[in-house]
Amino acid sequence: MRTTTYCNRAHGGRCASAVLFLLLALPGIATAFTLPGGDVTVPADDTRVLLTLPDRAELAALAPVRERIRNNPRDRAAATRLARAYLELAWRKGDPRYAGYAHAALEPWWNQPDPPPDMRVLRARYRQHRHDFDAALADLRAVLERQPRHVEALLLLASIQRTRGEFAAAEAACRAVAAGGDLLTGLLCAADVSAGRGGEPATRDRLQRLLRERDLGPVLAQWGWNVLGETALVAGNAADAAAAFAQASRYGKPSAQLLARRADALLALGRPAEVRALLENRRDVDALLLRLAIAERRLDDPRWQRHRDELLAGFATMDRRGETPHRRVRARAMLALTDDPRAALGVALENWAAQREVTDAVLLLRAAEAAGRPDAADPARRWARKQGIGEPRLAALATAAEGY
Amino acid sequence: MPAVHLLCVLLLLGVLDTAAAHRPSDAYVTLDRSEVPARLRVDLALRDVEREIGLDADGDGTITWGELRGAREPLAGYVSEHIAASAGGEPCVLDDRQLALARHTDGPYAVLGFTVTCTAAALPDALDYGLFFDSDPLHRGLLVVTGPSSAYSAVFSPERRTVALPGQPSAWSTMRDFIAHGVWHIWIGFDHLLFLVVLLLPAVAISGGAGSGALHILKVVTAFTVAHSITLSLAVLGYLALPSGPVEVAIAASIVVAALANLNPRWRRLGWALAFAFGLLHGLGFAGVLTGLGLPAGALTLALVSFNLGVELGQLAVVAAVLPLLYAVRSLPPLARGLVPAGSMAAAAVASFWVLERLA
Repeated sequence: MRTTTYCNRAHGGRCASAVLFLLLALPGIATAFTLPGGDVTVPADDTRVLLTLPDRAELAALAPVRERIRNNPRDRAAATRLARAYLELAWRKGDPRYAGYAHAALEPWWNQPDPPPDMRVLRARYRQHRHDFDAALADLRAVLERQPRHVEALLLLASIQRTRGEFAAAEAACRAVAAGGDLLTGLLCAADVSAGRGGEPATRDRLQRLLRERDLGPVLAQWGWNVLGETALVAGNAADAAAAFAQASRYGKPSAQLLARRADALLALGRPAEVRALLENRRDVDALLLRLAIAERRLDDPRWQRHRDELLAGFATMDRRGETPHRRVRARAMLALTDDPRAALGVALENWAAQREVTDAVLLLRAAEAAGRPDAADPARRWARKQGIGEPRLAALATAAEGY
Repeated sequence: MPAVHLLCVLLLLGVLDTAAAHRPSDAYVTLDRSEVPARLRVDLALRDVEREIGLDADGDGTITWGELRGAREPLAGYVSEHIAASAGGEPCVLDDRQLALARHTDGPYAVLGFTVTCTAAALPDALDYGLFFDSDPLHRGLLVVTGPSSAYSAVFSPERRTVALPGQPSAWSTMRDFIAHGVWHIWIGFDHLLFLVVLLLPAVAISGGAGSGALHILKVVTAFTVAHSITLSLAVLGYLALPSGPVEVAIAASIVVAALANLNPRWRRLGWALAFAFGLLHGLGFAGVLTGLGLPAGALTLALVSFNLGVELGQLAVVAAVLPLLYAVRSLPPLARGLVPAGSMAAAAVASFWVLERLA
């Protein structure tokens, strides 16, 4: 309306220039773009470093193999080598992107019903990584049917069965490794499995003797000390565990798993400051961020809240992806870092449905206690009785310091 | 064998607690359809971008802002080749408009902003997504679509690369929804209803026949309606902002005041003034509810007007129900004489309880 009165004959000149101005300004108005969503920055400085690329040395070592595959995606040997290297990185760094890269390397064979055994075992590893245990076991059993002495398949089988609490079957797989001629690996495997259900004194002693008397080489030695630490921890002996894990760390860069359990032993001993020092720069892996946050909370370090929020945000993103693979870490995070023990119990129960080791049983007991529903942990108690761990021992672990 | 051993050994130990503990690869895709042209925002982890198109121009193992800026064209090109929007089957054009940086929980992300221009000035109704899947099948695109009335979310994966977006609600359905909300919220708004009833009670006691009673009711209801419409609109449009706690307490208190006013014949006649004054307050109460429902950005006025209309209709229904009762009472003088004081006292008691409750 205003324009009409403004643009009558009396104001012709001003009106025309106003309209002209608007027309010229229009493109400017049209090109103003606002980004949906908030929280962006535009750095002023070109030299500002945004990211330091991780794992450069490892990736550089793999560059020639990647090149081979780029030239020929169906190069079996290169694909197997690359996938294996990626899966090892995924495990050691705790970084699932590498599992995805491994899958991509194996893509030409992925959907074949009967891929070559080495590839099939790698596919099983990938599936284990993704917590798709049934599919992984199917692959492994298929490989073992043709090659019953396949060490890698047997070890992976033992690992999955141990996780699911199928200890007898896992031990059988370890025995098969020994029967195939590799006594040392078979023994370490058996010791590892037995740690999952509380450890056995005889196995532990044998392992200790072995580590003292023989030079196993850095890889097996690290594994051996790691297993000793695990056995001690589930036996309620945090001091021995911390010492064993420290020893294991001397044999080469510790994996995320080793660091995490070492942190648990230190937490159980009431040494959160050492945990914080150990894990200070390891916010990249959830399991380590969890222990760091727990230690910081114990120390009244205000950073624990930010780290808790990071963890929860990470879980929320996993929820958005429709995946819930890390229930053990999640349950523990909710129990130790939030005020919602009932939600923690829910996750601990979900975890129990998928994993059955001593650590999972203890977690369930703690969560049930905290939520005021001790009866919810009855399945874990029954399991402990059946495995010969004994309810009292489990209860002792559950009421002992956090970390067990 | 040694190579196998290394891997096997590492396999066994408590793998699952830590193995996948890092964050997997996610991209965040936001499509805003509240106006034409639609705007698309894509947040990509710098790690993923580096792997796919290369960012580290000087090969020193770090990515700088300058290196990211330098790669803007190939990056925008990569994205627009692997994300496609369409409207009615016709492809839309993505125009690169902005490059920025964002931090998500697992590190720095490159943020790209696009306008999405579709034929016939339409809004996109389907999205195709194919970033990074070839080199990382575990990558996921986390999609959020925001529009005038609702948000929609989905996850792109190698198995699900296309998403059909829900259509925009028509003006009619928005109107219908918000009228229903208005009616519902006045019916469950016991404090508002009680206030109204308290103000209507005197119609029973006013001398001069049924007509003046009806006139009284008309004045009161109109005043209340006008008043709460005013503050509701002002609050929803952002011109008024008062903390909800004190407002709720005041609303309860207004009932007490109105009830006590009923006890005085002089004050009774000014019921419409009280209705207006306190109606302003009640409108703020409604505003809280309405904004809580989520207002459609592009149809704000329509939603507001519809909600208000719903409130009026709901009110009218209540008045229509209460009126016959009041008239029935009028015809029984003994009852009529006692109703106003007794009803008002009862209302005052209930409302006082609410005041105390809301103060807690």
